[in-house]
Amino acid sequence: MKSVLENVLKAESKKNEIDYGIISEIVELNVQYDGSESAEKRRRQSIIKQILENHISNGAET
Amino acid sequence: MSMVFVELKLTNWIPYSGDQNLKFNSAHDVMNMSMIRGQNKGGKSAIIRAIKWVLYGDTGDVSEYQRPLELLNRDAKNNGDFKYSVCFILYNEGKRVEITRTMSVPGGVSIAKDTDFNEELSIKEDKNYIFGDELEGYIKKILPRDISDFFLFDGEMLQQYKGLATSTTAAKKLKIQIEKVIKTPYIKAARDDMNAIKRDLLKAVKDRTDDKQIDLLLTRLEELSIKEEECSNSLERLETDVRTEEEAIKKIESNLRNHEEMIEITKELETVKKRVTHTEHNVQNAKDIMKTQSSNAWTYLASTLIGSRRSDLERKGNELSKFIDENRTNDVLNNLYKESIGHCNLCHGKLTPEQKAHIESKLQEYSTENTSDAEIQLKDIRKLLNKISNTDDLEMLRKQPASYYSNIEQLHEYNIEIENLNKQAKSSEQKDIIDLMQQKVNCENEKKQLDESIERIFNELNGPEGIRKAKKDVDLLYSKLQKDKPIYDRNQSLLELCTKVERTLSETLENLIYQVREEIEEYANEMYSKMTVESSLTSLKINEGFGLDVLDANNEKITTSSAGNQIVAMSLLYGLKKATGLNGPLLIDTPFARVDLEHRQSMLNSYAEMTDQIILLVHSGEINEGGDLEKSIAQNIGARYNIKKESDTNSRLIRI
Repeated sequence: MKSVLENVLKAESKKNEIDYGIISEIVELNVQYDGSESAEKRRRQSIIKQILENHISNGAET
Repeated sequence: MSMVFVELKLTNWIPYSGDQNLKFNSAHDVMNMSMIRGQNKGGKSAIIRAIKWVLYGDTGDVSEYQRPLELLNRDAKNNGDFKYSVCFILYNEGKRVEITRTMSVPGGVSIAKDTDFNEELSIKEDKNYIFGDELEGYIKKILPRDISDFFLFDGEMLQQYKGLATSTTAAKKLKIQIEKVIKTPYIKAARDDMNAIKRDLLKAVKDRTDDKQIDLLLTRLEELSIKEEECSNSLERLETDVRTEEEAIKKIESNLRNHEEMIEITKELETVKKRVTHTEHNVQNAKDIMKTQSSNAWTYLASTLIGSRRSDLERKGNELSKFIDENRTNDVLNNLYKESIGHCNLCHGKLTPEQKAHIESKLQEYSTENTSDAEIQLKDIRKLLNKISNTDDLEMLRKQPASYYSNIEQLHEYNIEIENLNKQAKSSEQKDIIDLMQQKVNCENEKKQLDESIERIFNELNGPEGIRKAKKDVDLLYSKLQKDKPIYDRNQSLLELCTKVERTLSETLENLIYQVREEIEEYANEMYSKMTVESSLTSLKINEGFGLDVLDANNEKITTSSAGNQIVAMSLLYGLKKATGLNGPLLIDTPFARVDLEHRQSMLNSYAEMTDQIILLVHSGEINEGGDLEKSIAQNIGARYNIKKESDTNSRLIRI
C-alpha cells in the first residue's frame, strides 16, 4: 500500500506544477541526514541546492 | 517496509547462560504467530531487550540493564566467561541481514569491571559485510529507533496509546514518534532548508534588479526569511531543551522508584503527621467547648438558685411590654391625624369642622404617656432573663471531657507511630528523596517555562498573522509581478524553483496530518469492530493528539474498561501501521496484562490478521498451556517456546 505521505506529496506537486521526483528526493535526503547541527544542515542544504541546479540544467519543467 | 524476524541467538545474555536461540516462524504463512511463554522474572523481557540492544546498543531501560556487568549472565561471570553477544537475523526487502553485537574483555582479565569491556558490531547483508561508519546508518535505514516502538513493545505501553489525548510526557513522546513515522519532522526540516537556500538567492536576485517595486518585495521577503530561520532555530533549541528536561525527569522518577520502600514510609509519616494536626485541632476545640460550657453551667446553676425572682421579672416585663404597645398605638393615631392635614385618610375627602372637633376630642380621651423609660427597663429585664439558662449545661460539661481525653490518647498513639516510622526511615535516604523530589519540581518548572516559550514562538511563526503567512502573501505578490517578465539569470530560475518546492512542502504539511488522521480513524474502526466482543454501537474518533476517543451511538464520549483501553490501543496501532505503510512484525511482551478472558480470545483472533508476523511473549496466566485459548489459535502458532527458569541466574529456552 502506498503511504499517505506519498499520495499527498504527489497531489501537492501536481497542484504546484513541480516534479514529484525532486520533492521526494529532498524529503528522503532529510530522512537520511537528519542531524540538527549547523555543519550537517549546511551540508544537506548544499546537496539540495545541487539537486535544484541539476534540475534546471537538465531543462526539466519547474 | 517489508521485514521478517527470523532468528535470535543469545550468548550469556542476562538470564540465559551459554548459547541459546529462538527461531521465529516465517511470515506470509497461515501459522504467522510465535509464542514464547514464561513466568514473571523468568526472561521474557530479556528477549525484547536483546533485540533493542543488538540494534541500538542499549536496552532502552533508563536506570538498569545499562552497564555491561548487568547484561552479562551471572553464571558466566562467576565462571570467568566475560563475553556476551546477541545475533539477530532478519529479512529486509528480500535480503538476509545478520546483525551481531558482542561485548568482551581482553584476555588475561580475571575480575572484569564495566570499563574493561569492548564492543563490536557486525552486519552482514546477504554475503556482504557492512563496514565502519555505515553500520549505524544501516540500522537506521532498516528500522529507525524512533519507530521501533511500533514493532516491539510491552503490554503496559499499550495504555499510552489510549492516553494520547493527554499531555503526559510518554504520550507526547509517542506523538513525536508517530509524526516521525509519517515523516512530518523531515518535511518541516526540508521546508527550513528551502527557506535557507532561498534567503541567499533573494540577496543575489535583488542585487541584479532595477525595478523598485520588485526590489522592495525582495527586501521584505529576505527580512521574513531571516525571521523565519531565527524562529525555527529557536524552536529547535527549545525543543531540545524540553527533551533534556524530560529525560532528567524520567531519570529522577526512575531513581525515586529505587526508594519505593522509603517513599512509602515517608508517605505514611506525612499521613500520620496530618492526623496529628487534625487531632491537635480536635483537642483545642474540645478545650474551647469545655470553657464555654463551664460558663454556661455556672449560669444554669445560678438560675436554679433564683427561680422565684425569674417569675417576678417575667411578670414585670409583660406589664411594661403592654404599656409600651398601648402608648405606641396612640402615638400612631396622633401622627396619622396630623399628617392628614384636614382630610380623611380613607376617602381623602375634606373634614368638616364638626368632624375635626369629634376626632380631636376622641384622641384626647387617650392620654399619651412617654414610653422611653419603660423601654429601657424592659431591655434590662430581658437581658437579665436571657442570662438565666434553661438548659442543663452541667450535664453536657460532664460528657465533654470523655471526647477531650480520647483525642489526647489518640495523639499519644500517633506520636508513638511517628517515632517508630522515624526509626525505620534512614535519615540519609530521606534526604536523598527530598533532594530528588525538589530536583523534579525544578525540572518541571523549567520545562513549563520552555513549553510556554515554544507556544509563543510557534504562534509568531505559524499564527494567522504569523511570519509564514506574511511570507506566503509577499511570495504570491512577487510571482504576480514577475509573471511575463523575462528570467534573466540562473539565480532567478533557482529562486522560482525554490519557492515552488517550499510551497509544495508547506501545503503537504497542512494536508498530511489531516489525511493521516482520517485514514488512521478508518482502519482503527475496522479493527475495533472485530475486537469488541459485545455487539456495540460504539465507534472511535481520532483527536488532535492522535489519540482515539470512544463514542456511543449519540456521538457522546464514553469511558472504557482496562480491556477496552487495550482494544482501543491495538486498534490505533493497527490504524497507524496501515495508514503509514509500516508493514512488519509485531512483538508484544505481556499482551493481555489487563484484559479479561473473553476479550483475550477476540484480540488473539485479530492479532493474526493485524500483521504478517506476530510474536507474543506471554506468562502462563495470560494464555494457559493447553487451555481453550491456546487451542483456539493453535492453527496460527508456528513456533512455540517455553522459558524454563532453572535458577535465579539461568533460564533455558525450550522449543515445544
